[in-house]
Amino acid sequence: MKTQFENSGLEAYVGELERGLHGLSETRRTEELTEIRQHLNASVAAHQEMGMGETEATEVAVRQFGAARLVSGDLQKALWREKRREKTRMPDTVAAAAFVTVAGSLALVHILAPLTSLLNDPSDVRTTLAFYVFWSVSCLMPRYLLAFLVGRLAPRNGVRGTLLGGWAYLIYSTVCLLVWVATQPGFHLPNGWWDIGGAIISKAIYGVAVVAAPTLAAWLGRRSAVRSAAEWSRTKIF
Amino acid sequence: MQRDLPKNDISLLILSVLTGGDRHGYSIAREIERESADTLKMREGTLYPALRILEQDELVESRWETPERGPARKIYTLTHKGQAEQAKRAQEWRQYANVIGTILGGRKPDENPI
Repeated sequence: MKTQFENSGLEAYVGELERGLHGLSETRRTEELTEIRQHLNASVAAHQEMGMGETEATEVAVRQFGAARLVSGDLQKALWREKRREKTRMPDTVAAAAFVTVAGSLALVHILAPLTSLLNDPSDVRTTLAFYVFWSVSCLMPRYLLAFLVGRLAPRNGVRGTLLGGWAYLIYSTVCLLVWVATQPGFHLPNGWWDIGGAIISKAIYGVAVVAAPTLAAWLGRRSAVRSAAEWSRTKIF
Repeated sequence: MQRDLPKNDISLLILSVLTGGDRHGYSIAREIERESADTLKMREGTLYPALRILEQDELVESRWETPERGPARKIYTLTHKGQAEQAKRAQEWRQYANVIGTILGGRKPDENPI
C-alpha cells in the first residue's frame, strides 16, 4: 500500500480543499487538512481491502467525502461561526469606535453650522428646530447604516465599539460647541445662560442620535448576524 | 433501502455514536454506517463542520493522540453537556417518529415512547 504522500489523486483533492480553506490561519488549516487527509487515507485503505485498485479506491473515497468546494465551504462557515462567537478583542473594539467617531464628523459640521446662525441671526431659516432636527437625523443616517454594518461584521465588538465611539464623539462635539459659544465676541455670562442651557438641551437630544441610535443600529446588526449564523447552522449543518 | 442522511440529523447521530466511547472522525462515519446497516449514506465531508459546531457548543471535546503506530489522530469525546443534549434530542426525535408512525399507521401514539 502506498503512503499518503504517494497517492497523487488524494493529494490533488486535499490541495483543492486547501485552496478552499484559504481564509483560515496556517495552523488551523494544517490541522483541518491533517485530519481530513487521515480520514481519506483510512477510507482508501478500507476500499483497497475490499479489492479495489488504488485509483478506484481513491475515487470512491473522495466521492463519499463530497465535493472539495462544498466541504471547504461548510468548514469555512463552521469556523466563521466560531470566530463570531469569540470574546471581544480590544483592537477590534477600538477600530470600531474610531470608525464610528470619524463617520460622525460630517454631522458635526452640519450641527455647528445652523447653531452659528442661531446665535447670530434668529430670523435665519436654518435656526428653526425642524431644520436642526432634520440635519441631526439625516446626517446621522449614514452613520446608523455604518453602525449596523459594524455590528453585523463584528457582532460583539460592533456594539461596544459603537457605544464607545458614540460617547467619544458626543463629548468631542459638546466641547467644540461650548468652546465656540464661550469665544463669541458678544458672549456674557447672564445673556449666555440661555445659550448654554439651549446647547445642553440640544446636546441631550443630539446625544440620543449620537449614542443611543447607532448603538441600537449596531445591536440590530449583531442580532441579524447571530440570527443568520444560527439559521445557517440549522439549515446547513444541523 | 438507502437514504441520504439529512444534514439536520448528523449532529444527533454523532452525539449518539460518541455515547458509546471516544472515536476519531473516520470511525464515527463508519459507526453511523454500520449501525444503520448501510441504510444511511452521508457525505462524509459534512462530519467535520458538524463536529466543529458541536465543539463550539461544548457538546464535544477533541484531543490529538499519537498511537504507537501510525500518525497522530484527533479523538472526540462527549462532554457532560453533550450527554444531556443527546438525551434531550433523542427524546424529541422519538416523539417525532412516534407521531409520524401514528399518522402513517393509523395507530394511537405511545404515551411513553421508548
